[in-house]
Amino acid sequence: MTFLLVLALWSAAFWCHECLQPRTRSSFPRQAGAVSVNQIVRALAPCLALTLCLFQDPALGIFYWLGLGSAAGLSTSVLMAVLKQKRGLARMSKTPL
Amino acid sequence: MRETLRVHMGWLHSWVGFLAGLLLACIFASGTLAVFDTEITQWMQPEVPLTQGTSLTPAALQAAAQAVQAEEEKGLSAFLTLPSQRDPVLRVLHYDGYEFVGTALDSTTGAVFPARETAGGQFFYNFHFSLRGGNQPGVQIVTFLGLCLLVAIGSGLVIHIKALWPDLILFRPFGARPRAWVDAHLIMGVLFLPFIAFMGYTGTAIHARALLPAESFFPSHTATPHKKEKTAPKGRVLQAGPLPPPLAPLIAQARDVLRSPDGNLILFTPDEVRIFKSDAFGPFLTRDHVAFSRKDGHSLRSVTQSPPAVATMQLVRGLHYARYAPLPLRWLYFLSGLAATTLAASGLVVFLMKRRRSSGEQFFFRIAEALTMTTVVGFPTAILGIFWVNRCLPAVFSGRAMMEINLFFLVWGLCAAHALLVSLTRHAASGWRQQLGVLAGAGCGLPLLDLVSRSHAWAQGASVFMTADALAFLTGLIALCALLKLREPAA
Amino acid sequence: MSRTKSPGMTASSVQPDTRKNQKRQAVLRRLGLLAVVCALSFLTAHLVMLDAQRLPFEDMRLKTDLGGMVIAALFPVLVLVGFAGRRHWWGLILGLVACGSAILAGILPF
Repeated sequence: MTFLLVLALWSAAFWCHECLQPRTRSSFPRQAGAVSVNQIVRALAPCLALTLCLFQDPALGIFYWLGLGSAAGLSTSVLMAVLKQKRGLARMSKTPL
Repeated sequence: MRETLRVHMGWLHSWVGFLAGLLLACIFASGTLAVFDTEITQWMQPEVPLTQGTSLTPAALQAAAQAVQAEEEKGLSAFLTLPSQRDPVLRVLHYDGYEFVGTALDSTTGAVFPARETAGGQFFYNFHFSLRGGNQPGVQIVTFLGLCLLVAIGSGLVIHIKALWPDLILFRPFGARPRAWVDAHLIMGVLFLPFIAFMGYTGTAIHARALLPAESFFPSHTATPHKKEKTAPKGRVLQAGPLPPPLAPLIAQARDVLRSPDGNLILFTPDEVRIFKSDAFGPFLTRDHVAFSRKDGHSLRSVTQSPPAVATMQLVRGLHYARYAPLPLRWLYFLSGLAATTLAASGLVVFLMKRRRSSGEQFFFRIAEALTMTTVVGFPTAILGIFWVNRCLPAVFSGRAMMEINLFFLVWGLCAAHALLVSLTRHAASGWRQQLGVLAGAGCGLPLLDLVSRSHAWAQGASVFMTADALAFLTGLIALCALLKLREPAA
Repeated sequence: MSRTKSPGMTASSVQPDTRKNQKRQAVLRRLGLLAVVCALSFLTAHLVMLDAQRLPFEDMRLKTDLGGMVIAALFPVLVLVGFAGRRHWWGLILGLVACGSAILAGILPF
């Protein structure tokens, strides 16, 4: 249960981080005050996740925190890509090569 | 093009990454599987029931001690691993030069399980750090590749540093094909950077002495040569010791001192019985042990504290080997290992995509494509091949462990030959599709084979069998998806 | 290949050749630099491993382990810095300084 919560916190932090990027603004329009909320969540959620991990397992908590963070980042990025595709924006990106 | 630092580092990253990545992807993949080496061995020895507890009877220990002595009489240095939560079996093992192999005993009666001979998960563990090439040149090559990995990570960071923070989770799988591959490479590299850098560093540090031995490359003529003591080769003994005293009281005493309730390791020398603390209790890979006399069983000494320098190395080893990790953390190690494998594989693909047009698909490009195909598709096919061979060969076939390994390399070699043939005849695209088809078939067919072979009852240790089969099936599905994607015209 | 323009050649046919030549030279320069930097870094790492034998521990394995930890950190940094610092060859100079330090550490009595 704690690990699910940690995963959710990390995902929220990554989601807010992506929402704060200028390129995402057009696909996910922001409301007034959303920037500060996103910034706060981005800063606090990983700290809270770390606290939970250390509370759950003081010796190995840091490893859970890092591992779950990577997993959450990966899943959030895939989710974000799918959502953007649904909104028909993915193909607007230019090819790098 | 202006020679900026980024361009300069890009060149280094591309070439070091590609040349080292061809083998690094295999090292990452085998390391990922080695996280579950015990479970793979359990899958490959379905005759060994996994429903026993961790308790031991004096009769079982007596049988194990006799088995150890019998092995010593054959010149093999045997040791015992006691049942643990992860592997509830009493095992008598010896080192065969590559893997720890041996018999599994019932922890209640001491009867030997009629388990099939197998390389098991130990093969992947050995391949991970030595490519099954021994200390020289196997470990040396892997250590050198570890240094290359660290250089590639450093140069990759320099290239990507500006976009690191804003593009932290940017992934565009539905964009143009090259964009999607670059994004996959970047996202794996960035999100799993702590794991990959740490594992790369610790793995290299642990075996650095193999690459750079502590003897001078410029030998002085005045120095007297070291007098070598007569020692047995690794895994062998020069003389067998007496039958050890009853082990049950010694184990109880050692567990009390070491505070290690199960899964201990017992080593035997002609004079001593050494009971070691289990590696499962904490990230320090300690060598804490209690030594007893082999003649009468009286306690000789106990080693339970390490100075800081030793403890540092124990931590480095412990974190890399991950024997301490409970199941959820083990899965995180596995996931991170998969990410590292994906990072290397996607890097290889990006390298080829970038040069396909500019190289005019000349000879060297075609060789590079063949090697990439061998790594990206051929290696997983060979891995699945070893699982297939395990179920297809008769259980009582003698020398079947070696046969499994030989067939692994045969399948991999065939994939390499096929890749070379199709690439050199300019049919690489169909070569990719053919190999992916074989991989998809091998992956999706493995659960069926496991079911049809009726090698085990599904009620016993079902989670091990179902998870392994499910992962093989998933690999097959991914290969199938890639195959279908390759049939589509490029975006 | 001659670098002088032959009178009959048009600019369009010369330019790709020149560019190819320049590219080849750049690659050769990079390869040369990388080889020198790797050789220097390897020598430094070897000397560090020899220096590690002077650490005040009884266990030989521990000494090589600690030497290995230093090498695993130092070698990639030396290669990267040596390869990155091209202007005025400061990368190579840094590599030489590191190598010299390792030699001195081996010679000087502690």
